[in-house]
Amino acid sequence: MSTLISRVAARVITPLAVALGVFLWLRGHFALGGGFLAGGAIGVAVVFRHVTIGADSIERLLDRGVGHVVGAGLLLMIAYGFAGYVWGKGFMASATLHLEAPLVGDVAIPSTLLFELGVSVVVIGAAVAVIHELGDDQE
Amino acid sequence: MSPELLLIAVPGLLGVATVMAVPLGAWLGARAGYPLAVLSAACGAVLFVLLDEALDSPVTVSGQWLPTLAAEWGLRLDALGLTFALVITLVGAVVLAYSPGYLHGEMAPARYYGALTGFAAAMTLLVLAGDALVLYVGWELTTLTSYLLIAAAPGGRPAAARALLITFTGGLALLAALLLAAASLDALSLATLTDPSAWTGAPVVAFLALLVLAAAVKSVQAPFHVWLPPAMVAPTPVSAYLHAAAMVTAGLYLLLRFAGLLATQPVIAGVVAGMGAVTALFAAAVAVRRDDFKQVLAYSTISQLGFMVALVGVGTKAAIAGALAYFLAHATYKAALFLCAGVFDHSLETRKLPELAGSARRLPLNTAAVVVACVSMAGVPPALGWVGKDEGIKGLLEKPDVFQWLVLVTVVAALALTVAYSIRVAVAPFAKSSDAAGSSEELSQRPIWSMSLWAALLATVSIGLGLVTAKFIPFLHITPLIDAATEVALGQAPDKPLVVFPGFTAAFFTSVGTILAGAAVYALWRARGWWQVLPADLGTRLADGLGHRLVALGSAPQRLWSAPRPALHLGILFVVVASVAGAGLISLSEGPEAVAGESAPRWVVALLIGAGALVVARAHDRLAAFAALGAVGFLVATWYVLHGAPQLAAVQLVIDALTIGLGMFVLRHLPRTFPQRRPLRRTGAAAAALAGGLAFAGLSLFQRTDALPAASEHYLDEARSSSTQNVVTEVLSHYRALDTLGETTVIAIAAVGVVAVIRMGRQR
Repeated sequence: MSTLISRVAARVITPLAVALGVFLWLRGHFALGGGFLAGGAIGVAVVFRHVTIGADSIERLLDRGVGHVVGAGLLLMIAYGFAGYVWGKGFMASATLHLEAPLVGDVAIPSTLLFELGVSVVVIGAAVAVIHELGDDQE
Repeated sequence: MSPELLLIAVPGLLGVATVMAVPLGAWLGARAGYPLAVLSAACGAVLFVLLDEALDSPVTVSGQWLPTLAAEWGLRLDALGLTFALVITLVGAVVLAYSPGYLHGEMAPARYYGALTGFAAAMTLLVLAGDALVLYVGWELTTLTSYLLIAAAPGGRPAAARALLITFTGGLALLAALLLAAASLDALSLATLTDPSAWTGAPVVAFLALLVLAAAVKSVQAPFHVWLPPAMVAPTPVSAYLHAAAMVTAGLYLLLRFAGLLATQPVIAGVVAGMGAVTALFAAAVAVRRDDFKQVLAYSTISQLGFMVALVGVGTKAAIAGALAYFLAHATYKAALFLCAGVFDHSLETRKLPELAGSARRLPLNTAAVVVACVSMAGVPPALGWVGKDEGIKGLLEKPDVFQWLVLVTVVAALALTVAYSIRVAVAPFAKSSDAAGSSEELSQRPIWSMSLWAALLATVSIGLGLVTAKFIPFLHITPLIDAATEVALGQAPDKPLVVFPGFTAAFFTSVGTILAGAAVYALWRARGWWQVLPADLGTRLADGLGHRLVALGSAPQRLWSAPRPALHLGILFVVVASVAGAGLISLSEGPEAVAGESAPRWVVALLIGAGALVVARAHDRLAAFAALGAVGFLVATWYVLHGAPQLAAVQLVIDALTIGLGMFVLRHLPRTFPQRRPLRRTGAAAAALAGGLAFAGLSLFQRTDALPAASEHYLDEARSSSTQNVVTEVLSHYRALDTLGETTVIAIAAVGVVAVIRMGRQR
């Protein structure tokens, strides 16, 4: 798989996949998308990158342990849950922030974006951790 | 300030101390103990301010917490809680002030102080709880913090795990008791739960039995005591605090809190009394034989808790008052002795009693503290240990029947042995030392004097509290506190206040008799060494044997589950699902609703999925099977699209792509083709797979209705009325957010599990 074409493709695909992930994450509340999907899309890109380029800096982030990334995602979700006491009626309550932006007009920013971000982080962390461990012995 | 605010301030201040302890420990190191000790002492001072008020009538605060469970968050300060809270905050302050001298690299100060103050906060919450659920939260938090404190000690992991496992069992019993109470009384406030008249017609025996089990585990009654002696690997101040003054007395507190209710059930009260008495005697017999100072103290703690538990079981007014007085005495002298043991440990590098010989000259203050504390432990007048013992024996003599006599005889024998080992501990530093090893320079490296001073302070308090019950010292009377606490526990105050010298009564002679008998036992031991005949660790050996038996019992299913055979696990899963779902489907009277004819594209996709599945099943080549499986995944995504579920389809696509990518890496490690299996096994596997598939297909038939269930309609309406247009994400991140959090946690755990399994495989 480690041909020149695939390596170049991986370099192009990774930023595109991240952009796609962010796009899916942001629009999840209004159309097809969501945190899980965003995490999955980025996860696929990371796997492809691993296959073509090999273990790289993204994965080395995890050398210190899966717990850090996955745990950060879970903590974000729990923090969102408690934030519900601040802006809503209780645990996991959500709210929507309405902003008046130039040109586009009213923009609704749901607080659930934070929650979805947590899901994405966990999914990406899980995918990267597993691919890193599985592919570790090839070098 | 209003008393309510002051009451909230007590656990609140300790909570603040817990939060501050970690940065303080990182900044000041071991010296962080001093400011924390001041905070803890301040909590004690607040309690003193509230003393008069609380003795008059309970100070309470509460608010709504979980209305569906009838639970409130509530604090309640009455004389009983006050007695315990005073000990927790004040002994806690002494222990925190002692710790800076003790801590030298055993544990990171931040972790040590964080867990210790966290424990103090939890324990205070436990004894000041006005609501049973608050009490339970405090109860479990003490278990957790105690685990952290034991596990951080060098070599403490196994002991900590054992303590955690055993005490969690007790916690579960407590939770079960509380749920039972909530279900049958529809209330969880302690005031209601402790009221015998509220329990008419309710399952009070089951409730009390669970409660007694929880208390027995926490307060180390035989046979649940096995977690305490190994826990002595914890730093000595931790032992002084958790394993003498505070944590192990939580069970005693629970029993005292429910003493009035317990008295209405003579059988359970009898069990409590018997259990306490047996524990007292057995542990005293073990303590006599131990050489390690801390082990002697550990078994002595078990024994004395047994004594107090027996008194609560007997449940007369004098017995309860005696238990309360003895609790105060025990908390002070036992904590003092632990602190002394820590000083010996650090300055002589030994805790063996025979090796303490000659230390009387080198550590005079510490030796003095040991002797004074032992006077209270032996129950010699005028120490508080004597007052409590005398009052307790009076309580035992109040209800003369055969069972009561048995309890009395057992307890008296235990108290005599207590006197014997008290003498042994007290004289150990005075023995002539055979060698003059250990230079004084070594000693001066630690603030030994200040450490001994804290121990001496506690020991003096243990004597002094007894003295103030004498009529001629009208200062800081503890008698009103004990009387009021007895009234809270039992509903009636004792007839006569506590005194050092009650006159020449039967109780007085019995108490003096225990001292004489103990001295005789000690003298006999010096002369003959005859107690070597007593079994050394019979109880521990029995408990360990039982533990091994249990582990062996569990290893058969464990072997099945931990076998590295995915086919087996999947097979079990499929068969279980098929039987449960099959039974459910068969028991239904109506079939699924007929759905109007399927469109042609759906038929094509369905046939393709079936064909793909067949290819997977028939393939010899792993790669081919895997590729076919991936194709089936994409086809299923198409199927979702045809049913108008684009979000599901997208998720299916992404997950399928991820699975294929990761699966390739797994395939590299496996042989190219599947191994050839015997026909019988193939048939079995096919049957299990078919059963599982049919069960799922059957279930899905019931999902396919043209009319949406009411709940789904509701979700759709809600989604339409809000800004969202994607119902799936709305449900996942809003209506079922807690479920999503749970499922995401499953992903996280699975990732950690996969990584762990791969690493394990690589190490082999």
